[in-house]
Amino acid sequence: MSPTIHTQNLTKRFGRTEVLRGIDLAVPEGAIYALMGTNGAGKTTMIKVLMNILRPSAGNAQVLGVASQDLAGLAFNRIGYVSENQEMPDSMTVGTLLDYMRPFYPRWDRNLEQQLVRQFDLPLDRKLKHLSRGMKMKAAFASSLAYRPSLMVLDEPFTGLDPLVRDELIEGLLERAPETTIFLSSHDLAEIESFASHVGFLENGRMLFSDEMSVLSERFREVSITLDAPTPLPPDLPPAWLLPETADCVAHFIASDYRAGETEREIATAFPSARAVEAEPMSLRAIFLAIAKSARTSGTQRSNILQTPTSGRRHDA
Amino acid sequence: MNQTLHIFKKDTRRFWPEILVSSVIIFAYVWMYPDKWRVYHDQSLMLRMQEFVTILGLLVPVGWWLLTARVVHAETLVGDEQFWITRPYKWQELLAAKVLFVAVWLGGPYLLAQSWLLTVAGFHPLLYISGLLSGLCVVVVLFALPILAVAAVTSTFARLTLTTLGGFVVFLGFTFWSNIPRGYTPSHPYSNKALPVLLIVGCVTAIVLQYATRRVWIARTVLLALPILMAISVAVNNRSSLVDRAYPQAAAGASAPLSLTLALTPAHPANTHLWDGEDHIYLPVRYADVADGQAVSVDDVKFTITAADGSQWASSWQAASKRILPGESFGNLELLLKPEVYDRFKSGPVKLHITLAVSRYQADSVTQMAYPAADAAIPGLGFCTPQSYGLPNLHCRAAIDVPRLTYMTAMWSKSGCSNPAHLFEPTAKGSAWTGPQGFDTRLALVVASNFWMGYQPTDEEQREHLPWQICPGSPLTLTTYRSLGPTQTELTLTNVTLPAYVQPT
Repeated sequence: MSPTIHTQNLTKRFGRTEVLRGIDLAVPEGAIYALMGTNGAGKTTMIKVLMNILRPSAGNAQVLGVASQDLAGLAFNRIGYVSENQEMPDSMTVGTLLDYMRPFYPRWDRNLEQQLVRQFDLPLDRKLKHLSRGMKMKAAFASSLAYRPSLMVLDEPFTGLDPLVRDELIEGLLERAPETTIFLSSHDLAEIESFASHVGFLENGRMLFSDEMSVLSERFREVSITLDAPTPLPPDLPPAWLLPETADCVAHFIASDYRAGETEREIATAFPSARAVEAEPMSLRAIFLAIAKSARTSGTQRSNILQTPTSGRRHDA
Repeated sequence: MNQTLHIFKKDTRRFWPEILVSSVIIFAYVWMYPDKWRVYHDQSLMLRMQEFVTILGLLVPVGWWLLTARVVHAETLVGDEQFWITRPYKWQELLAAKVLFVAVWLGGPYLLAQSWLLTVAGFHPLLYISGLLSGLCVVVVLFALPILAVAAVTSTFARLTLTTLGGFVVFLGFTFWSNIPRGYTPSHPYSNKALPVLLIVGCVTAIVLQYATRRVWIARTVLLALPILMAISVAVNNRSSLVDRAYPQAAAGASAPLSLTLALTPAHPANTHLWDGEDHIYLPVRYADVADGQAVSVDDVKFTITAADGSQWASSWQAASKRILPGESFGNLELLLKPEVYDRFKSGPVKLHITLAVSRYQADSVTQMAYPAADAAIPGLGFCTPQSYGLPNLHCRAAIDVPRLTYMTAMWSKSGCSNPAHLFEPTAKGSAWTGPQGFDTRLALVVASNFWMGYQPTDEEQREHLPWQICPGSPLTLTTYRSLGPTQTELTLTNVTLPAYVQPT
């Protein structure tokens, strides 16, 4: 089965500034893919290139089997797009927006529309310009979910929303998840962790990693080593060990490619005086912070070691 | 679903206030427009009413601008955050919806308003369908198309306003530079037909590119290139080359359409003035030898001055406007000279070569009728009302079609129209010309004109302040002409001393 989104060497430059640097990505059908990254990492640019709002400078992207640059007109019958900065037709009421959008989509589901209106508690007679940010986002969601899109692309959809609205939107989204591939960008790690099936991390225009959440959880471990005596960090530690440090009789690092037996053997080789080793699973937030810090201290070349052969195979599946 | 109609309906619901404003302005304009031919005995009231009509006339394109800009910006083409760009819009249908909106809500009220105006003026609109449509085309090309193009490459109303103002300044500069005020009229035989073609092609290209690709810098480049291309076109097709092309040299052996001699006499004295850094020397000339039944229009003139030592100066074509009938007539040809050029040639006799660009006409119908007492149809002129305040004149309104060249004469009476003796007294003949009016923005398809059939009273008549009038019932003669085509005719005069034609200061 071909991926819903597939990019190869996707590059975007604005003048001399390279915002996306050779992104290779595959989002399988049915996935809830969270594109993470700090502000300015290139998430919005990536989404705009995928949606043919911007044109790539090099490389290519396929969305639902269509080259992103050919994505126009009727191709958007199967795609929903909601962005935090989207300019909605503010002079319309919620009702007229839905009435207006309905004929554009052959697969528009009136029952689902009514269900979404009830679920999101949308005031049909209020103009969009008079709605709160959360309500406006709900209206955008409703007008994008009602035609049962094959792909929902969301650019920072939950930014600045109160937790209640955020939960309502996530709930509304997840109810459609079985039939819809969801690709969203966010830097709100806590909410992503609760429902994303895949996660990619963008830093300075490079994809530092892109993996399934379960694989990611297995790969990353916060490792603490108790030593017999204070020991300096040995040279030539494996590159997959992030942020290594020692203090007194404890050594500490983040294993970005943790494999139970193999990693323990590597620890024994690097720290012959190791008395005890603890490898704790990490939250997505902790992984995100570790990678971000590591990328900033070690440079972007580390991205290569974060792309494991495992994740590559999975993407190509 | 037909997206075109769907979007059109949405825009109509949303922009009804703009539609209303734009329609009210044009209907108010045509409602007031008949004041241009209404008889007012209070002249200041008439002038105030006509000023009001002029102001409304200026507001009409403002209303169209607002309407067109707002509807294009409803789906802004510039930017990357508009909700519609990731919806299944087909660009062709979106563009068609905007064109349909402009056609219906700009074109519709325009056609209705003009039809109403024609009816009020006494013309049946169904007889002027082609004129109505051509008027609409002019409005679309001059107003709607450029606004549509600029709106397509701007993101906000404020930017559009600034760009439009900038464009207006460029247009004024362009107009000034291309010397339009000195006789450029697109409907004239020597108009630069490339300009409207460039305007249409440039705007349409920018609009289609922008709707198809939303690559704004390409569309903006096209629009920025447009005035440059138009300037190049004006430079290449300057007035002189246009006149040379439009007025072919007469074939060898062909008879001249008229003869011309310099006629410096006490009755036709020298006349000069300095204006805009140039000496304007009015050469008194005598025209003659126009063939019977013909008329000649002198449209342009150029001069070559050759001194005894062989040095030469040549002017470019300069606008002239004089219509000549068979028989002898007098007039002036305006020679524009820089002071330093005049100084070069003033000392000795020179050879003066004059080339006239002329249009020849053949009289093909003569209508005689009684001078009307009230509003009446006059063949070739439309409907005319005699007005008696000030100098007697015929105030006429014509519909759409450019009138043919017409010469009219009427007899003046000095004993007053209430005195039956006026029918038997000696009379004087007054005359006037009418013809193609030149460039017209087609804001109103009824053209109002005044015809002063003046005559030159004798000194004695002027002294006596006799109450000359044109009385209802006196003979009015209208001669219409058909064109025989434009040509050039030349005259060389030797031993001309320029200072003889310059008023001593």
